Amino acid sequence: MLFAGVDIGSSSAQAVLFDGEKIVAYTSIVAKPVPQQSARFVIDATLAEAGARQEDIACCISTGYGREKITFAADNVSEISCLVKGAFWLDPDIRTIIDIGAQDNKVISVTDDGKLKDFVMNDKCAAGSGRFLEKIARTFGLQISDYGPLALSAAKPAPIQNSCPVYVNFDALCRLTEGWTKASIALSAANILASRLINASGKIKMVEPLCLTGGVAKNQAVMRSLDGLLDLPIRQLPVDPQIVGALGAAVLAHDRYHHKVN
Amino acid sequence: MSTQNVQQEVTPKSALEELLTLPRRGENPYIQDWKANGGKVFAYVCSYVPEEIIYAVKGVAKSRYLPVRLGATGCTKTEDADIDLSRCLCSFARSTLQMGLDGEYSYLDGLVYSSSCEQMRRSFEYWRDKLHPDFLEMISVPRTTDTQAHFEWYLEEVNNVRLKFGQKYGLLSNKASLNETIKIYNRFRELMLELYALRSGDAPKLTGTEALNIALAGFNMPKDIFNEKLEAAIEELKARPAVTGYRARVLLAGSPIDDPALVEIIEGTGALVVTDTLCTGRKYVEGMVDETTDDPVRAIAKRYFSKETCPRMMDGTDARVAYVKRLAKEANVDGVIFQYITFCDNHNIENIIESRSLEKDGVPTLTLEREYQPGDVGRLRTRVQAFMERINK
Repeated sequence: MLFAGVDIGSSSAQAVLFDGEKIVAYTSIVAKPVPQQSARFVIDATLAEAGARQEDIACCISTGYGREKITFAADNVSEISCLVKGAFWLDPDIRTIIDIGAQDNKVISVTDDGKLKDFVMNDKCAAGSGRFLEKIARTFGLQISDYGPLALSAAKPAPIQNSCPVYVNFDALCRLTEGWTKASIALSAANILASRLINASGKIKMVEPLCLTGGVAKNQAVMRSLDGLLDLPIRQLPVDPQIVGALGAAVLAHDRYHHKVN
Repeated sequence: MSTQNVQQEVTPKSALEELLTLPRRGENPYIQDWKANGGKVFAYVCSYVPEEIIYAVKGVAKSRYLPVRLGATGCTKTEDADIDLSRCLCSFARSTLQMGLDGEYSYLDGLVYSSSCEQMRRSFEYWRDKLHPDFLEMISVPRTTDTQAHFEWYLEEVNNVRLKFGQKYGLLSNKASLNETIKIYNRFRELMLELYALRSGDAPKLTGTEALNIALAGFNMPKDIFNEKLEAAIEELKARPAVTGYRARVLLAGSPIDDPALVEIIEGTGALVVTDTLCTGRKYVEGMVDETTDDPVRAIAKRYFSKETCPRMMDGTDARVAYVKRLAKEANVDGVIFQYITFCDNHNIENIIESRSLEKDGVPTLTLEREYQPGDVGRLRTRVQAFMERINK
């Protein structure tokens, strides 16, 4: 018997199959224009990887911005609660989660029994989110996976103040003409993202251990910058940080199926 | 081919149904009737404009003045307003100017502004310079409320606007008409507070969305007719079963809300808005005008000046913090949702102060940034849904 979680984000989509004890299979894809398409595609790919069929899924929960449109899901839960569920299942010590997605950032605090305690999200603005780094990468013709290594190769960051994904291009191009390297500019953008995130955490008291989730958690330059800004050690989760939301949804599906509360 | 004309039996709407579904602006039948009878309609923009001084103008029966609150629900673009008003002004100011430019307020004979915030003050200038309404006045409101001198200033401003109506149209309110109007408005406030009591008790009889629709009807109808309808609607509400199936009771605070769509988004996640501290809500109906004085204009000004203040005032922060806490406690809420329109700095900063103080007391809070037109439904729903999951315990 399998339990599924699908996380349909604005930039990527993930599915996780869970058997009650371990992750059976997972897939992450670039999001398609329509949430239902992403969901169908990502769940089919994950079922194929597990050698399973749709009928083997006893319960499915959807999350992410496209969560309300997924017809094969029994229910939808916000990504904030799913991240708590997923991170706590992976590591019950976790008390703070920093999630950096394509357009939303979240700082989440977790209770001792693994419940959502409080959260803050960015305002109506993608400044300092994953979209911001994507924009720089696109300007430079970089694969997002090459972003971290390039930024870390810089001797020092270029002077960039702008954190707006729209306007940062002007700043970046301006610095390039002044002779700054792409690496310096990429490093500067990673630093801006990290410091904005720490400042935005506002009312949330960050308690250790702390983990990072979301696609940007794979960016080594952002990780190093956050590590430098945070007083707390960052704990590595034993899975791809991008699938924690989908995993949480799958664990929730399991719990709901077995009538555990929440 | 023959067309069949089926005469349908139309059941008249109950008072409650009518208040819940009253059409907006030029489609509003009460405004249409008022105009058809030769009456004038004036919009005001903020709860520091005392409506009584407008409603109390008594000419012959056919030339009475109806104050309505300026709103722009349904405005979908602000591209023309953006030419004059920077995109760094709030979308409410820009939406009202846009609808003015679009001719959406052609039923209005004039507007009365107050200098409540810079956003609206600046939009006033474009009404003056571009739209040239027949009657346009501004009440300058002091930024502190604690001295007699400031009150006298406000009173003079209010009285000046009252006199301007007389200069312009030759009609002036008098002591008798003002006293009569005060009674109507006080009765309105009593009834609205009764409606609040029906929401915030243990067994709420109506949703926050319904309550806002009723309040919107009240903004746009002659208050004496509205009072009769509301009395009947309250009886209907008392007789119906309580609202069930909600996940959490919340208080709604922050920037003015006159669009039920936002409350619908919030309540669509299982929240029930049982009370608020909005200037389009509770703050609008609290505080009676003294009916026993010999100087009704002074009594009216006193009520508006000493009501629960707007965060645009330099003083009163402690009182406003105490106010939100008191209402949250009285309505036994599970959490407080703050919201502000982008660039509404007064409410944005006030929200931070109030929410920190509530969280310190163990009351969960959420703050939403939004536009006047709640277009980004998904982003708002995610935040409110997560907040519901947080306070679901």
